[in-house]
Amino acid sequence: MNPRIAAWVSRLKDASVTVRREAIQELEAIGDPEALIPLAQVFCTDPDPETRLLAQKSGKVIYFNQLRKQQLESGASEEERRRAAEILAKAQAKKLRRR
Amino acid sequence: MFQELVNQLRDPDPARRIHALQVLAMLDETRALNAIHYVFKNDSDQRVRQAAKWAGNLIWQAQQRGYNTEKALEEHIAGQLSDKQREAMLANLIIPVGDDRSLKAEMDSLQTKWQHIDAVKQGWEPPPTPPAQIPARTDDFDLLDAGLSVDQPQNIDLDELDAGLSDLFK
Repeated sequence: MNPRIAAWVSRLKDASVTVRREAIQELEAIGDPEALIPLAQVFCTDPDPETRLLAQKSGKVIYFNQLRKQQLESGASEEERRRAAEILAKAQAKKLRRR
Repeated sequence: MFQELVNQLRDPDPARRIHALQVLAMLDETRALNAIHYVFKNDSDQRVRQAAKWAGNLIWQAQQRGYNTEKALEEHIAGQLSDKQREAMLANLIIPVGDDRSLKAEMDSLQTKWQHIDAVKQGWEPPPTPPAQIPARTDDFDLLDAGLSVDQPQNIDLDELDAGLSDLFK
């Protein structure tokens, strides 16, 4: 476990729902993928359904950001290149209309 | 990241395999369904098989609702930066056509100012360029050497010119 997130992970087991939810949101903001396992445990075992959903939502945000980061490091996909070209063409057309 | 989680399903430690199943279930990772099915059918540990059944069910239900990871990822990225924002950002990156000339003029003007400031800083003012000294009687080549046109009436004795013209039209 990354010691950077240990304090938040321990708060995921707090008796107070508010403290647990705050810890989940803060873990999402930190974005460390090592938080996925503790969040999954909240998702599986927390007595409060809203907190379980929140853990799932935050887990997905961390996961998607991580996937995105990996995509960026490995270069843009074909679909992203196509969309970027479309956006650029639109911007150029708009500029030409302004002239 | 996805591959790491799938690889963890083959970890020798059953607790780690269960953790991977819990994470995949939380993420509704539809791409992992086949791997989870394989674990459910073949894992040596009954607790892992149970966890695989639970995770597989959750993800399958999500898939039935129309959820899939690729689409969700795309929506997540789109939510971070809308197309309009991207377009505006790209448009701002391009120097507006038509402003190039004014930009160049501004840069030239700034450069002149900087040169002047540099000169003042060094306690030296550029002296005004002295006018070319042209002898009273000179030919065209002398004028050209001095950088002047023959048409320029600079330092020309008008009386002499008048006399010259009179001689010419006699």
